[in-house]
Amino acid sequence: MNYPQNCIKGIPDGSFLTEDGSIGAHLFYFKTERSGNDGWVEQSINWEDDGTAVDFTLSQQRGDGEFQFRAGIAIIPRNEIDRLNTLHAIQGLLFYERHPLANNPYHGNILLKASVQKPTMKKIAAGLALIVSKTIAPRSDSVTG
Amino acid sequence: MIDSLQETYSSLQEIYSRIAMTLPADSSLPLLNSERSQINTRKFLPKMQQFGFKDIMARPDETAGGKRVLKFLSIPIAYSLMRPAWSVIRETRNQANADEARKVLLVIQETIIDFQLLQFDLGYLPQLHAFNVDDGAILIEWIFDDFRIGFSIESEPKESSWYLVSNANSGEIAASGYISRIDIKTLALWLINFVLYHS
Repeated sequence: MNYPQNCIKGIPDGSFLTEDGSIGAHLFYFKTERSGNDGWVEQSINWEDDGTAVDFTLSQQRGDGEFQFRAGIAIIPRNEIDRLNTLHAIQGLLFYERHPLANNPYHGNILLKASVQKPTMKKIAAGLALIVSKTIAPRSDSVTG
Repeated sequence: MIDSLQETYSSLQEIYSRIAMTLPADSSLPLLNSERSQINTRKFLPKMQQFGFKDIMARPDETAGGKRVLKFLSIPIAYSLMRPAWSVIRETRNQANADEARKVLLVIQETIIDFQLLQFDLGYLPQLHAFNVDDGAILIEWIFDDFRIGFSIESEPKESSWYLVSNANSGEIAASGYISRIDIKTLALWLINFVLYHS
């Protein structure tokens, strides 16, 4: 399957950011208690398939009409995820997939082996935060929480 | 004379309050009563002596110290580095978690001060941050361009963990473990050594 160079992670609100705009690793925590039957746990991303994927993501809305990513988005290079997945203590624990939805053709997931312990999950989350190449501010009409 | 002493007392009280804000709730720092209308030097001077304030109170032109207590020295840089993290911990609702986080922060702070006393320049380092995470944990994170150091303080203390992850510029390390299975002072020393070498 073909994947673009980058994936996009939405930042729901300001509680994931420091005063200087750095992203806390908890943005990338996997909900390990929600593992499915396939042995993986997932966190949602969008794939930057084209020039409109960023605007599309920034404009995504929740059920209540509020913007979903009120603190902007983070861009993660896919080759950096691949590199992270080759580190000795992480090797083979990460994967990614496309998972288009009816209302979101860009949707996908970063996947983590469901068997990993919490310290490893949090370390990998920090690894993902470390490879963020840039952040993009939210839409001006969005409210940062 | 009383006015002068009261002015000094007020200044000390302000300094004292700032120091106290960085300390855990169970700190041994003696209390100063802000409602005290008249200073009873006999009552609080002996306690102040252990923090080196006695001479300031007795003779303003001298600075000879009392007993050295590391965590009260070099406050400006250590406090500046730790301020955002302490500030979040003060607002943490889960007091048991907050107490555990304070223990970790205090060890980091003392280690930083140890390095300062050894004349290491730490003024350029980024600040430590803390986050109250929706899984109930507190995340303490030290974020650098090439690496991240973190401590996750969990509701169940034996689940609390630490990590160090770095990119190719800093050795591509991905280390983590349970805090309960390692000596936290040794860990802090190792991590701050890493920080000084790679930042």
